[in-house]
Amino acid sequence: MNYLWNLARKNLSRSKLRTSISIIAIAIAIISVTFARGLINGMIESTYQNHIYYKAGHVRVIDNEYELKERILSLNHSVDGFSGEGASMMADKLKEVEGVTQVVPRIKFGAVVIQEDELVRMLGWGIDPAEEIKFTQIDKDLSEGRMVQPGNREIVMGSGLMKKLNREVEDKVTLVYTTPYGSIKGSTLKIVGKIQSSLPLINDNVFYLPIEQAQEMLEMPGQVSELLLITPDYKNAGSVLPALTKLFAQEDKSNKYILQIWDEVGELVALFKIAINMYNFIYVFIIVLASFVLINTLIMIINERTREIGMMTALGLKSREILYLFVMEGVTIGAIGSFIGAILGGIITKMVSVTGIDYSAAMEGMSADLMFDPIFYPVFSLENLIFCFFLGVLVVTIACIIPASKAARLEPTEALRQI
Amino acid sequence: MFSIKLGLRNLTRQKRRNLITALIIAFAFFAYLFMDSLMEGMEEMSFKNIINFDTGHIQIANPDYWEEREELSLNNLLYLSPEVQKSLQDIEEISGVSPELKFTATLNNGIDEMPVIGLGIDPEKYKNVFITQDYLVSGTMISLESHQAIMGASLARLMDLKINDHITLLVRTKEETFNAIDVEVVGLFRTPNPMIDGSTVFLPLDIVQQSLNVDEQISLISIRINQEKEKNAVVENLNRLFQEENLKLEAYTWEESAETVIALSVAKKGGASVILAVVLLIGIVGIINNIILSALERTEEIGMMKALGMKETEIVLAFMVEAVGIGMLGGILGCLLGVLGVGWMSKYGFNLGYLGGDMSTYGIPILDKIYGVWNFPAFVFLLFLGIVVALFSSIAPAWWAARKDPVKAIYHR
Repeated sequence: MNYLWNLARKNLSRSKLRTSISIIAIAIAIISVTFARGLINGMIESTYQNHIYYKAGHVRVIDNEYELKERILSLNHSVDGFSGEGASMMADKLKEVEGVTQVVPRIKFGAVVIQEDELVRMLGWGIDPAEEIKFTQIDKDLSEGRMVQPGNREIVMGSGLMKKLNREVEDKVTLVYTTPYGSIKGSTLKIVGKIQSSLPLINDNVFYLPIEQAQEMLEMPGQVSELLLITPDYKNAGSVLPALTKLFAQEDKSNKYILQIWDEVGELVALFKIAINMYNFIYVFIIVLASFVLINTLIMIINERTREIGMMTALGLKSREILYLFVMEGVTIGAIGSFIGAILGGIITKMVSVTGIDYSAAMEGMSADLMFDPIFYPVFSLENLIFCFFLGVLVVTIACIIPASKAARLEPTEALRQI
Repeated sequence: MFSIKLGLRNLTRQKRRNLITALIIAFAFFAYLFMDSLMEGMEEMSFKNIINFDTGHIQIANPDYWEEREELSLNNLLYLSPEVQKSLQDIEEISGVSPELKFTATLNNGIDEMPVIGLGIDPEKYKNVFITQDYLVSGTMISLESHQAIMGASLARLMDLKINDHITLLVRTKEETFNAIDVEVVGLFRTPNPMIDGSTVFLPLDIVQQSLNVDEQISLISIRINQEKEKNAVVENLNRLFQEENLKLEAYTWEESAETVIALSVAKKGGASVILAVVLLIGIVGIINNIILSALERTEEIGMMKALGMKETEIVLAFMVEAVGIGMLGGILGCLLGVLGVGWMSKYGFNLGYLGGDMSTYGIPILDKIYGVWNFPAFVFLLFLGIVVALFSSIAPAWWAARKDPVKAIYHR
């Protein structure tokens, strides 16, 4: 085998120009694929993360009718524990389940603030500050003030919302909201912190308050909208399901609750999975086209060396070895091109990942429920480079087999006669 | 002339190689045409949905209101005297004039509540501009002077409402006091515009005006014209009219109200162009490769021709003719593939539902299938692009081939 490698290497250096053009073609394809994949992975990762942080958790426990009514933030389908024992007792039981590292309770409700001549609508999230900080590190987004503390009548809100309300930290704000019993109530709370987030939902719509406070205001003692369960790895969240199902079969006799893994919440993740498949198709398509250039070169190389091939076959080289020889030549070009492409693509990705690509203008029309960060940061990862490199080599290898098998099939007598 | 003939002849010498290179270009063009058609179709449909259900062709509003039209405030409303209204209707190009009063409200069904957009309309005038009434799936249209409402079937389902149910809309009047409008749901509609379906409640204009305490005022006027392309001329006409009458009003085309949707589709088209650019770049390398391979193969020939007195420019020309032939072939093949793809798309359409549910969340006002659109300028553009790209990418390698020393070339060393 070794001499075949040597032969391939020598053959490739016969016309350096020709070889390098093929390398460039492959490299261009791999550069674009590496960059595009980095960009799309970055977008998907950040969207998944936001989706998990602010909507789904890894596994979500909700009332089975809440899903339909989620859009209107209904408070009539809340989680109040197994047979009404209260959400915190339920959370304690869930924490015991193996694989669940954290249980984050949230109560989500709509509220308005009457501001001069207009109504400002907002979303209130009653939370347990300690759990929330541990889960989403929301305290890192605080640009001013501090996070709410349990039991206090205080709130923290996004900078966009504060601007709309014309308030600063330390100001007071009066919220008007409806309890599950249909009565309209108002409460005055103090703003103790300001959150600066690039996510429109958090920045412009949401305020946080301590969960006990929300329960008291809404007259919903011991109730929450949802319990988010966190596992060590979201990609593996499904593995805690059997234990959870067992617990629910035991405790939840009336089948009040449903369990949702993060990729079942909403339609977003399903849509993304289709998009990923489409993009994978485009990547392969681009590399295949670049391989066309290489195939052309290989066909010419084979034509040029028909007599040589005939002679080598006559001297006892098996047709399988001829096939290997030409595939090796192609793969060498493919590997060099993919390597250069992956490195250059990685450099571009790294450079753009610092600045990011701003899509805010195009995203304005999108609904705030969507967990898109309007600035896309491509992720630079070794995994991406290695993946693109091997994808390039793989596609090129498959493409090379076509002309190489043609060379292998040549009859020595015919080949030698060729002028 | 000889060079051109030579180039064309040479084109047939390596049929397979030329075809492979042409295929790179063809695939690039096909991918672009297909995506372009899909996006144009999506765009055309969302524009139609905006015009037919949301804005009409032209909207008239107080410029101060227009600035903050998203807020739906009750300030800076407009009042249209019957004379002005008459003169609007008298303009020849205008086929419908619909006054509208938009407001924010909280819809309450007795258990839950949600924020909605309320829209006061005059049903008789409304139907001259919009087609929402044709999409009623049950019940009837509202009529003036009665406490009635229609809404999207999806909104009704969310709020557990049926026909003949009574709902309460909690609103704030102009004087900032709260008021409730009690109405009966008389009709449900299902339009292809999810933004209208999911969050708008239609009410009779006079009832809304009373409840909001705004007298005869309205937020804006939507206008349908006979010929969509004349909208800019009509807008100019209207603006002149308003100036003469000394009214603080301004007319806007629907494009100005749909800015965000337009921005989104521009961004998406950018994506298609990037793919085209990358693949074309590979196509360029393919053509360069092709010429270099041909030149390597024909080194002896080139040397001989030079020895026989052929000029370098003539050799370059021969190679360029060959390259342009490949570009043309690629362009034609790509357009043929494009015709097949776009033809299929425009005939059978593509159901967005397969992609998973409601596209309205992504700012695209479309439910239902989208159909491909024939964009002939794109075909012509690509045909030329193929030739131009081939021409320019061939110059450098052709010079490289032609500059070889004839003596060395013949010896092939």
